[in-house]
Amino acid sequence: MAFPSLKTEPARVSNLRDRSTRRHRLTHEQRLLIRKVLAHAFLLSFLAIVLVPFIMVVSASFRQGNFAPSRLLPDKVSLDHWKYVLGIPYTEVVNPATGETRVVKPVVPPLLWFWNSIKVSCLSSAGIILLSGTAAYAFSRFKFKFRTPILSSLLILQMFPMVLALVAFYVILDFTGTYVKWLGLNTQAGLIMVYLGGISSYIWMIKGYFDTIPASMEESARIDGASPFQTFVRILLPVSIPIFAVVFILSFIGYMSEYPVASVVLQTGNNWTLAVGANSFLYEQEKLWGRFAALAVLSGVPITVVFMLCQRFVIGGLTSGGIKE
Amino acid sequence: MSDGSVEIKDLVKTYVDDRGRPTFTAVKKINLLIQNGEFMVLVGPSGCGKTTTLRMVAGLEKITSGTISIGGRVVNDLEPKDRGIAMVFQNYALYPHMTIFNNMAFGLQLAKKKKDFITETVGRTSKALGLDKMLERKPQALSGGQRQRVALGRAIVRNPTVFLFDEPLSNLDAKMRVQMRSEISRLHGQLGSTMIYVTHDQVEAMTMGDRICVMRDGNIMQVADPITLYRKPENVFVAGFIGSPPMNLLKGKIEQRPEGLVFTEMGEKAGLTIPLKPPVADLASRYVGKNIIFGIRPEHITEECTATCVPVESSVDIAEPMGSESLVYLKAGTGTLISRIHGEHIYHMGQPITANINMEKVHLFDTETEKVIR
Amino acid sequence: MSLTTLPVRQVLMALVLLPALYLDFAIYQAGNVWIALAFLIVIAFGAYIYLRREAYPFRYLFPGFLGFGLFVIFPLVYTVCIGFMKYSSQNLLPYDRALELLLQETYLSGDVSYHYQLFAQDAGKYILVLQDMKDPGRRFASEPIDLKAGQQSGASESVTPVTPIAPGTQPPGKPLEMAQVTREKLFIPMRGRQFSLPDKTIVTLEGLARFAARQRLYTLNPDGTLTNRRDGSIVHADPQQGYFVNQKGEKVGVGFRTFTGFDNYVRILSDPRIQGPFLRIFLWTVAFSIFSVLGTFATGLLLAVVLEWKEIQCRKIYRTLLILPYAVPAVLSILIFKGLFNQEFGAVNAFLRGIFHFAPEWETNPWGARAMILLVNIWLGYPYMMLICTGMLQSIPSTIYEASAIDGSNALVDLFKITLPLILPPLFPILISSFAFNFNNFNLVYLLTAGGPKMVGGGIAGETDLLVTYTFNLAFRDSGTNYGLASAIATILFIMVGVLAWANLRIGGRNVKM
Ligand SMILES: Nc1ncnc2c1ncn2[C@@H]1O[C@H](COP(=O)(O)OP(=O)(O)OP(=O)(O)O)[C@@H](O)[C@H]1O
Ligand SMILES: [Mg+2]
Repeated sequence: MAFPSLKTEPARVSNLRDRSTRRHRLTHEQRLLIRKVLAHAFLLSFLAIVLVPFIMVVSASFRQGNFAPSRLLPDKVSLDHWKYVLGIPYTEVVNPATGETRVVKPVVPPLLWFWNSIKVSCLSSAGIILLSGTAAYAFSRFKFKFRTPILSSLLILQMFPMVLALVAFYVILDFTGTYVKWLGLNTQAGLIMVYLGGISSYIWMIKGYFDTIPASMEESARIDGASPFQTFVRILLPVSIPIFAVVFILSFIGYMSEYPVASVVLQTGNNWTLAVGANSFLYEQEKLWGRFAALAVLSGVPITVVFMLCQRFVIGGLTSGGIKE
Repeated sequence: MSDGSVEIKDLVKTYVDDRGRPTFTAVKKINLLIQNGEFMVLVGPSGCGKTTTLRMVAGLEKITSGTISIGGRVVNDLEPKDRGIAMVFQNYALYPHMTIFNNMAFGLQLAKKKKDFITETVGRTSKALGLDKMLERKPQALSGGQRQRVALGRAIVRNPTVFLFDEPLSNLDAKMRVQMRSEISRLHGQLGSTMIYVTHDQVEAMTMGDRICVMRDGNIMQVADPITLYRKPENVFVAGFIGSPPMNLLKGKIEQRPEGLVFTEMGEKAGLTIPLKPPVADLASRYVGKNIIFGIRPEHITEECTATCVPVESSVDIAEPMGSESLVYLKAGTGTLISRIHGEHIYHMGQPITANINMEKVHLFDTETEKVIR
Repeated sequence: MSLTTLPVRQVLMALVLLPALYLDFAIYQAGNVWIALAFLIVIAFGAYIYLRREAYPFRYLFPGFLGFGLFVIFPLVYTVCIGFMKYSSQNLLPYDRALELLLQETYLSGDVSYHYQLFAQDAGKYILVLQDMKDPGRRFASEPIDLKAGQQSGASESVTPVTPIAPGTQPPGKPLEMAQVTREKLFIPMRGRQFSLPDKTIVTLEGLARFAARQRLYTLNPDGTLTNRRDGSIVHADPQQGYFVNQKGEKVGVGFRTFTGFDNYVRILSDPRIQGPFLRIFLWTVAFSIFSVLGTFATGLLLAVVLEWKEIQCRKIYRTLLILPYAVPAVLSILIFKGLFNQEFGAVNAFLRGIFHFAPEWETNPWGARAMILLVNIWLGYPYMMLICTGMLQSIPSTIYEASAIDGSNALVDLFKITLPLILPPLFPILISSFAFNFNNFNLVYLLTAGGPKMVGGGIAGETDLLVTYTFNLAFRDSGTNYGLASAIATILFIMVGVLAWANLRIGGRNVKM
């Protein structure tokens, strides 16, 4: 073959390759740069869509008058809405011509709604964890008749739109209220009790997690003399804290946003949750955007911050099959 | 309860589904007597029911029928903790949220033992296992071998009469495995407790066990000490299972030829023909014209001939030199024989060789019952 | 062990059981026999489960099942049952109550009227004295009765007997002037009361100044029909209409709820006033769910793919910020968007007007409203899909892309020929669940548009109503609430979504271990 000729050629070949690769690399680099710029532009514009609404809400909460959020910066800054939401009295000009003023103070400080929501959501989520954690333990670790059918029907039955069963909730709470006062209609305990029904998707989530924990750990504890309950509490629970964190956060956020049931169960302003209260600012006749915005910022920020801090947990839990509702 | 003998009688395990319908019978009426202080190894191919048996002894699995007695007491209805046993799991099963100390002390704490006693026992055990420097660490911060030692320590602390091991070394690397193997053997020597040890590693079984119980498909095939098991397998399965490389097992027939009794292999094609000499010939005379399995271990096919050997002309197919010995795959007629030949030789493919089969070491098995012919 | 642990459990059980039994007894005493019985069965079950060994697993299931049974299964069954009933604002009361009301109706019988006078006693009690207008010798007095000024009497159904008093005698206490009765509004509590004379005639307050004899309008016949005493007509209950009707077929009294079988379902399918909007709303619901899933998935996948690209700086910051819509409570975001999409003053139209001189009618135009709902839903839902897709993408080994690069592929080919085929099968169950969730996405529509704009000729139906919001309005909003019809639709909804969930379980079940 052409061995000798090859020997004389290396210089030229490498030269050629060099040139071609350099030209190639240049265009490649340029292409990469263009692509990167495009990607950043895309991401930034998307970020704008995500962030601008929030900025506008902040601005609306500081803006004098009750305007729908529409500006990045308020034109006339006023702290009235914040005072209102925090329950601090402030004076408002009723008639600009005469300079007549009046003191405004909410009957129920809207901050209370936020507090109610936190209370209801925390207690409900804790209850959910208790109920679904124990149930998941049984489904994951014991054998009993109809285990699989029960598990599937839990999931299917939960598909019933609870909004449409409000009549039934009303009937139940009306009934319980006649015997146990603090558990009836227009009580937060009653609302929490209703919320405790929504356990099935969380049972599935927690069971999925339990199933990944090798049973030999619990068997070992059993040989060591632990009862099933001791095993559950001292071995399985400490190991499963991540999934409980996920369930807590997901159900917490879910209940923070729950509107229809809360709006029917809770009738007086001092009992309202955030969702009901926030919506009450936006009646058809009079939309109090400024107050709503202040309340939204005040209550949205802490929740968001907590969520962001726990993000790592939640993402892990989501990929194991939860859905935010 | 210092008597650690374990007696398994007519033990059956049938797994059931959620509704209690039987799905699979993993253990089929086995009987086994383990003496006090004995090191019993359960071996067998995957899925043969070793773990199931062990877990029934531990009390982790319900017994379908039959009885298990420990120290002469029927323990069928006893909780695991009351059986005087301790178990070491394949995946260690350490509690990840507890320190090593608490891992080892957990059982004693549950038994409401005195604090001083716990500290003393755990301290002594951990020192003996070389874990005393890491008692405050959590299991994540330990190597595989150390974790296994913690699991071992957790078992020792319980001061059981019977130790149960379920493939405790299979998650370790080869070197660590050898080390832990001898450590467990030494432990057995020191404590003198009964130990039941499940493995599917033959080497572990042969080196560690006082006796070995070979299982297949939920049945016990043979129980014997390692040498007997090797020398006198009772059936084809044990013969083929124990030993590496496995025994040559040829299916064929005994024929009466003018020159005497011969064994002719009958595979897809007619294979090897081996003339038979006493003592094998005497056994074979009862099986003339009948199907039979002819077994010979690789090391009993040699280049030198002894008084009772039968030469078979063959050629080298593949040779695997391993230093002091070689595994040689021989082509004889249309069949293949594996032989283990001592000495440092180099073989070439196709090299003719005379393989001498030592008639004293030949095993004959009945094809139908698969039992050895004596 | 048993010596120390056994009593603890027993004591705990007793602490729970005793109040429960007491409560059950209270329910029983209040007359709710069946509920008390059901409750008793639950208590017995609980006691059995926690005291007996063989039910051990159920100790962990019982509390959860109790909650689930009470707040998921019971409402479901209750709603399904209502679906077979005529139950609306016209047919509200149970039969017994409607009958009772009818039997309480009275009419002025005869022409005897009575003057009355109140004599004040201690502690806000009064004695009523009646005097026949025509025969002043006939006088009657009541026991001291409670009259709370201006308040409707609580014991409206009770009948107070009055007894004759001798002429000339006076009951104790100070007599009230007529002016005083009106000023203190004492006639209001009196209006609710009935007084029975010794001859069983009922007299009630007529107007302000006189009492007159009244009689029950209806008498109950043994066969369950009622006879009208005034005109002698016979009235019977018509279970089909949920009303009492007389021989002429005229409705009498108030309606009652009644089982009508599949009537509501037949109405949904055949009544054009319901069928029309129902079909349109159904189609929009399906379209909304599909586009929501596709939109959120496409957006989420696109972002996930871009963010997986190692060359981009600050990926972590982008990712964190892009999750924001998921972190903020959805109620707040939805209401914020309601403001941003405000047709006249909202930011969206201000922006569009400024740049494109174009302002869509997000609130009054059906298509505008639908577009708004979808946009907002995608905004709310893409982070979830992004998180899931990111997880999936990271599980694909990068060597696959290296291999495809050697084969000469590019980013688009990679996306459609490698990434999508790889992640779609495991994502399928998640997409289905997301579809089912959006199918019943009540919050979004209810809070954002409340179903508006109104559908022309569709009654309470709106152009952006989902089945679930439409049904909700049908059941709970405004006048004309129709629980029966709403429950029937709810049942249909449940069956549709339930079948979907079941199928999903089947598909997903192949890779999910139960
Ligand atoms: N819970 C169960 N339900 C039904 N069958 C089971 C169950 N557990 C084990 N089996 C079956 O019982 C048989 C014996 O299982 P076992 O775990 O005892 O095998 P093994 O001998 O320990 O195998 P290996 O060496 O692989 O660990 C296997 O065929 C297995 O499939
Ligand atoms: Mg095993």
